[in-house]
Amino acid sequence: MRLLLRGMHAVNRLTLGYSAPFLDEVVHQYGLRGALTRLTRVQEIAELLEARLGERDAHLLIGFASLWNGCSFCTLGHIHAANLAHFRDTGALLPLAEDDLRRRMLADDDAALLAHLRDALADQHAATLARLERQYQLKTGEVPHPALLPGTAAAAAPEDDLLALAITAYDWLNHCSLVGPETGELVALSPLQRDRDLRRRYAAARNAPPPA
Amino acid sequence: MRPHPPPGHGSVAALPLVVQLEQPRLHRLNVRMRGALDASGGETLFTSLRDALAVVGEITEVLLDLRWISDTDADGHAALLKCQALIANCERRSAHLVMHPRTRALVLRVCHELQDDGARPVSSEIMAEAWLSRPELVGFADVSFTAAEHLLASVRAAGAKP
Repeated sequence: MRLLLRGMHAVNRLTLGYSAPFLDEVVHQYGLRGALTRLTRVQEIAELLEARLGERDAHLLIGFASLWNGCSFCTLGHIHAANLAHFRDTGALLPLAEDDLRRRMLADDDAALLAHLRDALADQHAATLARLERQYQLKTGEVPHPALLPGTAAAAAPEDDLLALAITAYDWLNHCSLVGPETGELVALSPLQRDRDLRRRYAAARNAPPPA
Repeated sequence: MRPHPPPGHGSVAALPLVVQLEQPRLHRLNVRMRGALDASGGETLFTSLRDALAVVGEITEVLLDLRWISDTDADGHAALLKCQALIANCERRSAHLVMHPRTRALVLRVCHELQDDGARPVSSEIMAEAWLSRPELVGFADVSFTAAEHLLASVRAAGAKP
């Protein structure tokens, strides 16, 4: 099994440009077939979210579903993917820097993180902010959803099912991803990880000193 | 991926843990905490919980309110693991009320490490009630995955309608 896992990691690195360090934990937990079935389902959910909400916002919703659970690998990986997609499409930076979020998710509580989100996104990304706030309301039960609060009425807003989909899928995945080994490496959990030129230009823009 | 704060943040100079126990109804024990969940706080929590569960035999549901935990460290993790093992060994159902990603991660790790199917982190009292009052929901991770699968099927079906 150890040899098989090493092979899977190698294939992932070759085809995706990264391999999730928690893969071993998912296989350990569910066996090879069970792990592959579940991870395939999560991938299908990510693809559906991307098709319905767009690449950037799908990664942001997945990133924040993981952020509330405290998983830095999934959070930063998906927010990095969202940042790369936004930079590729607009040439501008989303005001959600990975290093800053890494620090905040250790230091801040939910209310402080939501306040930061509002400060960062309210002016230029109000629709995305509304999605992320709604997702948090679903996560806490402030807005009930039957997938998260069994026995409650069907979703009220058309997008609620998609937001709840990200929450439920990553409530599952994070119970394994949180116990995987910590690498500290920033990896875009998307095909953009293989675009070295985009990642280099993004890093240069993110690290550039602010205009005087 | 680890829930513990960086060096310096989880300093043990924080307020000592105060534990308050409530029994709002026959089968429910609420354990509310305020202060640092470190080695000393963990011992206080474990002793309070063990004594309460030994005295009050009818308890089947435990709500651990971790919202006002100011600091955690590796000792806090170990202490929570010990407390959760006590709850799991008595086959009681539990919900951990949290409002901090770092604490949510700590609880998810503890539930996973113990494979406790009756425990989960929750972000509100409403979510806690929903979990504690439904013993048919077994294993937070599996419940979440099943919900995701059903939701995926229903979203696809709705999208396929003309």
